[in-house]
Amino acid sequence: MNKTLKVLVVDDEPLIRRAFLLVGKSRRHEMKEAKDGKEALAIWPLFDPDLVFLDVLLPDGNGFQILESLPKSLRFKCVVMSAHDNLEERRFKGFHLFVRKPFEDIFKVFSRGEQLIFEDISPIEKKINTISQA
Amino acid sequence: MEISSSLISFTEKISSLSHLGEFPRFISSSIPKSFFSGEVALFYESSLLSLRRSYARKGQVYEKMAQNPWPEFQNMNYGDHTVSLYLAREMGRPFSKALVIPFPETTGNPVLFVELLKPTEKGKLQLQSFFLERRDIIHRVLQRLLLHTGFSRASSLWGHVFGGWREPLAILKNFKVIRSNRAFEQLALDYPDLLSFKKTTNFLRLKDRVYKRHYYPVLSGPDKKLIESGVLYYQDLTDYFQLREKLLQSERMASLARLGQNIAHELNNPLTGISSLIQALRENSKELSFLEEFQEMEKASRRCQKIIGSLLSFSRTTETTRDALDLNQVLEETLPLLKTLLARVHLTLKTSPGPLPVRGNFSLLQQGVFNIILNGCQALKGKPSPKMEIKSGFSKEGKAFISIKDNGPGIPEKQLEKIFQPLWTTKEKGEGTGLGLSMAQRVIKGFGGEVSVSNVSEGGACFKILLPLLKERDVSLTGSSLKVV
Repeated sequence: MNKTLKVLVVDDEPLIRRAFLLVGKSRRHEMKEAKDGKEALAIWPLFDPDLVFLDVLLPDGNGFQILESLPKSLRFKCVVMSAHDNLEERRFKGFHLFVRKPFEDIFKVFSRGEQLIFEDISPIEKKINTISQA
Repeated sequence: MEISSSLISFTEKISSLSHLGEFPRFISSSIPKSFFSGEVALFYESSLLSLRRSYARKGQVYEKMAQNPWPEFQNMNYGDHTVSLYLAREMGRPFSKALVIPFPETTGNPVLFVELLKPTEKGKLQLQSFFLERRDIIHRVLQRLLLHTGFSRASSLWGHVFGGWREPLAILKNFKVIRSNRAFEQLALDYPDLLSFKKTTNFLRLKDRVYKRHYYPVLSGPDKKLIESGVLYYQDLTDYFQLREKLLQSERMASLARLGQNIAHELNNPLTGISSLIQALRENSKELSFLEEFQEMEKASRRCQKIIGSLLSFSRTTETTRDALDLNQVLEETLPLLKTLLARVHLTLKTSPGPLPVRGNFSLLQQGVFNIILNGCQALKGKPSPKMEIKSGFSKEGKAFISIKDNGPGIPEKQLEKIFQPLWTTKEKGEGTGLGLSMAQRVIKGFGGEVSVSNVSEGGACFKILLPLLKERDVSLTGSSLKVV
């Protein structure tokens, strides 16, 4: 992966953000983090990331709600992460990949995110791509 | 006025009637033959048990719900078409013209109908004057007979209700039993000192039932202050308590499940963080000497994740599929998972030759069977010559069964009940969560089966799984679930 991407990580767990930042920086991407919905909405339009790792359950709301509140002009690929197994989330759209927590290999998750950009995968309408054994 | 001898004899005879059923026949036989009277029927209202109409006819008293509304007989006349129609409907046959003799002043509003076979004006007048003469005495006797009928019916009904009442009842006078029902007598036989009024508690545990004792005193005396008599009633609350216990138990289980889920999800986040960060650090760390430490940390966090995973699957309350499957196949596919543990155990496998069709969820049943066998293996740890016998087939009651017997130390009597409770474990820390057997029981019960355990005489324990067999018409082969032999 040679291209430098702008990557945003939104998760309320500091260790997860740290891990993503470490991996991203080692791959020479420009990394930014947000710990809740409010921060995410503040940073996102300004930073205009190419790739976003978005946690579903945030202290101030639902990851999907954030997706819906964003300005429509933004272009990005989004990997949604969740610890829960309720199927409700499948109703939402605006994301490109669904990953279940805990993930076995964070590198794989990151790589799959990068893949979304380079294969220009379109957002999920009906079916879900899941990495259950990432 | 000259009182005819027939009237005197009538009066004497009617006064000796003791039973309402005798009344119509008596009246009928007193009417002179020349009057050509037909059937005599007495209708009256019986207010007992909301039975509204009854009638005496030809010596029999019939209790009957009147099919039709009770007309205003007082305003009816002989020859009235409505009367004949009414009687025809009630008596089930065509009725000729009838004389209507109401007694509105008597309780029950009795009405006497006398059928006229030769409906002439003369005949009618004859009959009318016959009854007019005797109206007074008939009225008095009717009153007596109706009261008596009502009373004896009420008394008998009361007797039946009292006697047959399921819960012990007794009527006391001066604190001595003067009347009691069968249930009370049975109880008194087993507990002779039943009446000792120890006011400690009104909840009594007798035999295997729980009773609440009630005493309803009857106040008598000049100013209703004297308590001499009363009704003693033992309310059977056993079912109520059992149901309450079951409800509490299922509530506890539900809260436990909810708690488990909450904890699991709360823990998942930091654990994910820890394992992800360890991975990232490992890759990026310049210090290669810490590689082993990182590996151990990762292993530890993975162990945590596994425990959380099993906690979650234990607490899962979502609907699962119920497919037709072969229990033997479940067993077959579970044993390989325990290969290492079973390696040193001498295993005897006796499964039924054909499939054991049951309805359930393959992976859940697999987990259940796995946990029970695992428990057996763990019991055999350190045993010099460990043996296990696993059998499957059709039970006596016509169900599918799997039995897992080991020659381990067995299970102490007191623990036999508790062994299926969640988090009950005698294992070392880190060896298991104590949820396995509880989960197994829950899963199997959820599919209409049961799990039981008993100690074997030669030493060791035997777990038995029972599941209802699938009936022919229930079978719908779903993919590879049901193996066709």
